[in-house]
Amino acid sequence: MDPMVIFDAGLALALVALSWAVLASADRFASVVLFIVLGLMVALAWVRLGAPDVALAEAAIGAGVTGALLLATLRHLRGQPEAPPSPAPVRWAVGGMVAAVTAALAAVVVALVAAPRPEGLAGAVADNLAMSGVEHPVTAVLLNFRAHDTLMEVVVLLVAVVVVWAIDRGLAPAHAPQGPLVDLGPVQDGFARLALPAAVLLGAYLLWAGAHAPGGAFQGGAVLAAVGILAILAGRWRPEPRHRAWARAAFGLGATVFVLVALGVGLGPRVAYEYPLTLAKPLILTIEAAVTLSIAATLAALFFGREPAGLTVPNTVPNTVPSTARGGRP
Amino acid sequence: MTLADLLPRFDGGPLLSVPSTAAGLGLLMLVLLATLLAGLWRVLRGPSAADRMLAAQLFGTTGVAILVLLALASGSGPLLDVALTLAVLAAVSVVAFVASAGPGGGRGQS
Amino acid sequence: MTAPGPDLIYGLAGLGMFAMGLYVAMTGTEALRRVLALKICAIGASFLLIVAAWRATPDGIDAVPHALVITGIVVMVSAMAVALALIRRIRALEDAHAAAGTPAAPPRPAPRRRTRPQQGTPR
Repeated sequence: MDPMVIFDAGLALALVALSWAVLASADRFASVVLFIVLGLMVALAWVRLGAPDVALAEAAIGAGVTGALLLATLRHLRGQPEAPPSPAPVRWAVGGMVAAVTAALAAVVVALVAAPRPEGLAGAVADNLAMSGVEHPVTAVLLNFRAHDTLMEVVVLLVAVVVVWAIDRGLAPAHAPQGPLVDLGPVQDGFARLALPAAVLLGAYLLWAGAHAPGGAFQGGAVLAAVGILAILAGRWRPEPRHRAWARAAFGLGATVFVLVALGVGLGPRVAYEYPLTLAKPLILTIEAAVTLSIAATLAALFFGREPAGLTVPNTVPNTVPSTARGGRP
Repeated sequence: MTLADLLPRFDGGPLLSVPSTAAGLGLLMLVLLATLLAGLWRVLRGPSAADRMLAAQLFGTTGVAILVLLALASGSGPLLDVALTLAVLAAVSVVAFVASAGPGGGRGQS
Repeated sequence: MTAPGPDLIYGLAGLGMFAMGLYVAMTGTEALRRVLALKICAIGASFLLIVAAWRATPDGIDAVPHALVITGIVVMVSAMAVALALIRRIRALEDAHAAAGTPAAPPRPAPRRRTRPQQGTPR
């Protein structure tokens, strides 16, 4: 038997078992760690399904952003008792609905696998790839054929950071997502010194590689966001109120450049997003560079959470962190 | 140019020439997957938070190894980019864990 | 009967993840676990899309669902960040109540609004 079939089956079983463990584990911390592992295994599964772009995005966002975000939030939930489960009628009703939806989807999957597959949009993408300005199909779809979706996605990120800043406004320091600065010691310091430049290089490389290979603005932006998160964690950079104007400019840059290019193209005889062939690649790379910076700044800000502003709310909450851990770096 | 251009050099290397058949690579991947599943035990059982986190960190390394083998098996260079991303970013979660736990914070909490 | 391809194997795994995630997201009582459940549900849905795009030959693989899933991953991380910010805010409000001497109402035996335990406290 082909070892790859065994590999696929083992990985698929591990995915389902891990999901169950994440949802059933009584310990919140165990749930979060299992979830981080799940993200890694999902990236392997995307590779097996021939989707390296998706694997890159999942690996970059899952490993670099989601895990740090969850662990930072987990700190605030320590000692909180678990709520009792939902009432039985609710569980039965939801269970029945979920079973019905899943059964219908299962019929679709089995029919899909058994029948000869229609071509889908692969042919249409391949036929028009030469006119898109880039050689990689996924980048062509994201930045050219379905560019409006991508613009909306950048706007969603923008809205998310606006909402998070609004929610966290005036939060007491003990509840700030990042919390007190901890001296991580010489090992982490050395690690940051080695890893940060490598990660910056990797982010720029992924952005550039996106034109002809898996990669692109989201993957590069996520890697650069991880750089920001690592810099914040290692105490190499501390967001301050005077950075706010720059942060806002960085959040808006991607959407602004995207809209300006689309409108600029649309003012001529063409419709928006219909880039002229000779200019397509420079225009796409311009948009991607701006979007990468925006995504990096936004994801790092989503991790940091609170708007870097002077806090006015007094800290009335009993201190749960040992006093030696507070006070920042020497 | 991508990292794919580096692949032929790996192919000819004496270290990788022995299991270069697809079946051999597949067996290696199965072994690595088995080590992943074995490590899951430690994540599930703990007992301390640091145990779980370190086991998860180990998975990052194994995942990189599996991705490199997949890249060799399929001759697809971009998979090396995925492996590189994972290798660079796998430690971010651990740094976040240390930062959120504080000095000695990972011991008591489970 | 030939060996099942990766599309069937991962399609079924995605179905399982979708169902589990959806069920816990709708019936769970713990905010953080519901957020994780929602993300697992989203991963399951992404599996179905990628499986639909999969073909045995690399050239036949459809790039459009891949682009959709990448968009979905970024939107999901935005939604997750907002949800986690809400969780932090709820915890801060509970702690503020506790510090002010009005203990947050403990979860009731059969509560309907478990995620807002401070509701109903005397103001």
